[in-house]
Amino acid sequence: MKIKSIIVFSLFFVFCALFLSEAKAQSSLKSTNYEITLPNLNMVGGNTTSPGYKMGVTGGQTAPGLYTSTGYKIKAGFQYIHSIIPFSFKLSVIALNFGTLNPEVLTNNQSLTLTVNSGSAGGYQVKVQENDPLTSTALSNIPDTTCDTTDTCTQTDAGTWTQTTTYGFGYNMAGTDVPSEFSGSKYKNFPDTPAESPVKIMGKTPAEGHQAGKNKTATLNARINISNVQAAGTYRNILTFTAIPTY
Amino acid sequence: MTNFKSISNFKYYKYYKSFSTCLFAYLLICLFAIPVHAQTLSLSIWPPLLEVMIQPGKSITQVYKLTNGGKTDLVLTSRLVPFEPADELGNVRIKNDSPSVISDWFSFQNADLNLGDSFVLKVKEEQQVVLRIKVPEKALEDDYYLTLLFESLPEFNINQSAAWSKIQIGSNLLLTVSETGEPPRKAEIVEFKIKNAWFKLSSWQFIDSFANPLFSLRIKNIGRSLFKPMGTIIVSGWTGGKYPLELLPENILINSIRQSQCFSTDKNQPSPCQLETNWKSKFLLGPYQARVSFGLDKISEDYQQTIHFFAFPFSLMAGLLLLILPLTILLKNYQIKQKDDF
Repeated sequence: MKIKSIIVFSLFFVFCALFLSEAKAQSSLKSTNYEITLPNLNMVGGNTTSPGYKMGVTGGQTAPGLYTSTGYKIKAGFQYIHSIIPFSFKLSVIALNFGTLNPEVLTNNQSLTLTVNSGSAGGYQVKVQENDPLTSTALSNIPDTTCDTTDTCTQTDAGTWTQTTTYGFGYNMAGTDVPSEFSGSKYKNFPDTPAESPVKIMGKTPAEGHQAGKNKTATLNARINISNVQAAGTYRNILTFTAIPTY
Repeated sequence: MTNFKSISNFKYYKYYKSFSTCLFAYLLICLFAIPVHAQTLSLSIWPPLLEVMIQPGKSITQVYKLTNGGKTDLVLTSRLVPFEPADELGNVRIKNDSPSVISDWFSFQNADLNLGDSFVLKVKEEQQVVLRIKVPEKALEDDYYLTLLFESLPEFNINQSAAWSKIQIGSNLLLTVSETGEPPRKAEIVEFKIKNAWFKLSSWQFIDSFANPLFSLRIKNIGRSLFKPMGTIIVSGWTGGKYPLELLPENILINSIRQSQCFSTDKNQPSPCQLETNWKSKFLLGPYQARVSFGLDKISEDYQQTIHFFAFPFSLMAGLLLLILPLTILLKNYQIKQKDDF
């Protein structure tokens, strides 16, 4: 009798677990993987069932009188993203150390890896800018490259740099979420602050196919080529890398 | 013999002693040596985005978590700078040249840190920064878009030609000052069309049956506060089948246009607003209509637009034509040749 009761109870439990649907809040638009909760709650309120993204938590229609009593509504993070991974940005080196420069060669190259964790951001961009051209203590400078005369470059337009008689300081990019104009090992020069705006060197938005994820890496390959008459000295400048999520 | 053995043992003992000393020194180095790593710069921030709607005269606080994940201690400074939309994709353009007129609304509530002060963030340490927003009583009801930036100060410790790196990380802050909590929001559908249509005839767009219709939806904010469009694009055909695409609720700022995206439930990711068709279930043939409808910060049909398109297997027809045409010519030539032979 006791065993029979246990079996009946177990079957009933299994039946309940299998066939009774999960109770959910009303006023929600559901699909198999996520759910948009209707915006009637102040503050954080939405539930979602997607592992990577979160639809819920929204502003708009608060309960009448709620906003006027509290005086504010606040939402942190993106409405559709279910991730507490902070937005993070890493540079592999603190300086591109070129050491002693050899004139008229294309081998004075140094690289730097940029890593972005964009798990909690809808999209992102990394921009770069230099404070000045590479300048020595005697105030000589290595100008920004304008690339080969047959295919010139600026801070916004990429060009070819294959001639050893093409001098200056420039860079190219390779890796994840890098603008397509760098393809074919094309180079640009760095925009100078404050006259020139920083330029995007990495990043994607949802419209460009951004997929939230960890360890998105790109490599910046910087190059210096100097002429035989370049004044001797130690040349330096500062490159500012800025990572900002989309809104 | 005994003497030889003892001399030999002494010799081995000497080697053994040297070996033991070396091994011991090696173990000591392995155990206590300070690991040498390349100096990296790494910063992370949470939250990446903050949306605040607040009444004049009220104040709020928000904790930002800033972590140094690199292998070197960082000296950081902070600043709040206004931004504007850089494009239609959600990227920002920092307005360094125009200092924020509302900068005195913001402060840090940390006991030992003020906004703009430099501070040290040691390796693997987290700094919690409490941002306080205090909106004055007479503040103008408007939207204010800012980025909270943290930046490192470079250290020059190499006496060689080098380009030094400075790292900056930002978090966007969308602030709406509103007395009622219902600021006037208004949208305009600037464009709703099929991107990959073959051609357009009157109000009809023509698409290949083998192509997945890709919708372009551009929405402009013509109101006085930001909003998120919430709604769907529903494709329906003569067969009665309906294929919905969920709009991604992304912020559209005042006086800006944003290219809206959709949310793929299959991939659990934002995705282009593209109908995934296949041979079995959703092969398109004949007349269809696509209707976009959305509300501002709420699911409704306040805004809607419908387009019509016709799906036809143009590529298949073109292929067949390319196959048939040469065959017909060949056949004709063959017939003419046969006639001539007779």
